Amino acid sequence: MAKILRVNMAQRNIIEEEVPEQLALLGGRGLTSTMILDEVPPGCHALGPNNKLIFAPGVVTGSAAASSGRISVGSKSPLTGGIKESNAGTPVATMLGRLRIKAIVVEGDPAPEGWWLLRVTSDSAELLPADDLDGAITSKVNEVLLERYGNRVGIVTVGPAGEQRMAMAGICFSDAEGRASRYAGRGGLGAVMGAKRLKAIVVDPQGAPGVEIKDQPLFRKGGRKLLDALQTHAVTKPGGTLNTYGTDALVNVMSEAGGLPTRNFARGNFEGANKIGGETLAETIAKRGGKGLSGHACHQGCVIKCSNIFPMEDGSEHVSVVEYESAWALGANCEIDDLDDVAEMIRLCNEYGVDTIEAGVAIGVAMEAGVVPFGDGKGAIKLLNEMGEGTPLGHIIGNGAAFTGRAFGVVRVPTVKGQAMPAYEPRAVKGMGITYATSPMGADHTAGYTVAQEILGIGGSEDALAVEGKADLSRSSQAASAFIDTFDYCLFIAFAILDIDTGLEGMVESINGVLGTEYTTADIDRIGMEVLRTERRFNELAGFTSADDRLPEFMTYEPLPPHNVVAGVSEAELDSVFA
Amino acid sequence: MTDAGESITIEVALFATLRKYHPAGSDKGPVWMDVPEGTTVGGLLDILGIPAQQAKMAFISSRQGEDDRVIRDGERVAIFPPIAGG
Ligand code: SF4
Repeated sequence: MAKILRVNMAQRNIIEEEVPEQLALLGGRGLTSTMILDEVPPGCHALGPNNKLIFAPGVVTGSAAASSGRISVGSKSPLTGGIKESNAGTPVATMLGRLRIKAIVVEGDPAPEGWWLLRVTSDSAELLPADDLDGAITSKVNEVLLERYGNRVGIVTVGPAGEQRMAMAGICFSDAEGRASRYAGRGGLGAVMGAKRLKAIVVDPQGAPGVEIKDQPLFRKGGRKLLDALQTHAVTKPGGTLNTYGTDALVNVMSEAGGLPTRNFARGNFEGANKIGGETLAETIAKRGGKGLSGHACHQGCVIKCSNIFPMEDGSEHVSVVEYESAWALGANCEIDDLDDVAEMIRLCNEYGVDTIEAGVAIGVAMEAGVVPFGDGKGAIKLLNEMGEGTPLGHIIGNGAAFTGRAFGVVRVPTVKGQAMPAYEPRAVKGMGITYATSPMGADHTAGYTVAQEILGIGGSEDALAVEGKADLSRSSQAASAFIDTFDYCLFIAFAILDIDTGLEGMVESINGVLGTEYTTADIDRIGMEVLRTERRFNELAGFTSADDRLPEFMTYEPLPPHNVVAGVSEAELDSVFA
Repeated sequence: MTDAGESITIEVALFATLRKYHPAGSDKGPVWMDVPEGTTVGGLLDILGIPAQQAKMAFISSRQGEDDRVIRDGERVAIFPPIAGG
């Protein structure tokens, strides 16, 4: 039987619950968002006693379904004040799926002193003192816990930023080799974990019964169809572009398209793009050799393998993973074009436990204010270290781009609902702007990735600079993302199944095989929309209105080079998305 | 294509798996090259020997361009294979 673990940090006890019927068919984002709406008072303080932090693997996670080792984390966000789901690819997800743990709910008001560790095995769950990990960076936590519990366990942790409750703190999950590198980064969930005084979770998969599968033949049939699609599509197949160059191949694409936010969103192309893009990244990894690796899998069971391990000049390991969002945020957005400086900044974000997107955008805003000059890699590294040390300046930046903007009186602050925009300029990619503005998550590219159609020609082809039809494209993309995040396939399977119909069918058949349901592809939009409505309901009760579904004002009057266009999406169009 | 012998000079940038099609001696950065006036994006692919199905995206001076888009003197043409990420 699947179960829910309720971890009460006030009483320091753990209760095992059966899964109520209305949650039985949900997992991942659908489950966390439903439980947050049901159990968390929308008006509560995100760092206070009434907020909860919920970890939930997807419905198919832990099964043999390809690229499905993802875990969703849900809560009220200390960054946006609204509902939050952020997910990561990690063996921790598959372990929880195989242990049939549908959710871990962390709740209650902890004593103000001391740190705790939650240890979960196939037949027990306990809270143990973790004061020895006080202040530890994430790699240290993993080193200590792998040593203590054996290297087969999965680890979840927060770094010093989460302990200090900074609003850009993320939650760090171990990767396939136990590295502290996979993040549910967005929205400050690490600060919630820190506020609960939970430093880490250790998951031991030994003796796990495995995911219950209602209809094995159907599950296998669907799995094969999805696998075929993934192994055929030019983007997702072995030796395909994701596998060879990683997501970082997008740096050159977006710069050439004039939609790569550069110099704190002052322009849409970056002269140094090629120096930090996927081609140079793959070349550098190959040339330096040693521990470097392209085509790394974040968890066993991924067939796409878009991750990497970036080496130092001498071939020793520097950091995993240099991906598009991180290389853009800490690179182009700060006009930094030195790949080694960018790698070092990613490493520091991983160690202190912060979201690379929010960090890069907050530093960009600080650069705009003249705290350090644009292009100054060493200066940016120093700012990250201030965060790790918890200096007053570190706290300002650590609380995110919007907070940094207010602290320094900056007008050009690229956030929606207080969350930093990712690596697509909304003025140059109109549908993406609509997603940023209207997603219940705040500015988030994964919430509705219209870039696929608008720039990449996947799942259709649209003019990126045209507004017409984009409200609908954004809405359907948001629904599809909410669906995929509920079953917790990696979102990157979308590139194959948008183009290959049998892959899409295969995904739905795999899900039916696990659940015993009779969903069709037509249910994707319906189920996704239900999740979105749940999330929007929470935000509404928390005080959000249509005035929060807006892009920052400067984008409405500041033309973006090289296209020299403003946002150009009317309020009526934005309000039509979920009307 | 025009029948006259006029030529124009354009900047060509090839990315990811298409880098190997760069004209000799320029396998990395963008390169300036002469092409007949009236050359389209599709025509440029032929000139460079890039199989049409390998080229997924073209941006001409930052604007998306289809195969029949005529390239003008001095423009930059960036060509990519299928790429995606997040
Ligand atoms: S495609 Fe990349 S992010 Fe997705 S599961 Fe595979 S390695 Fe992880």
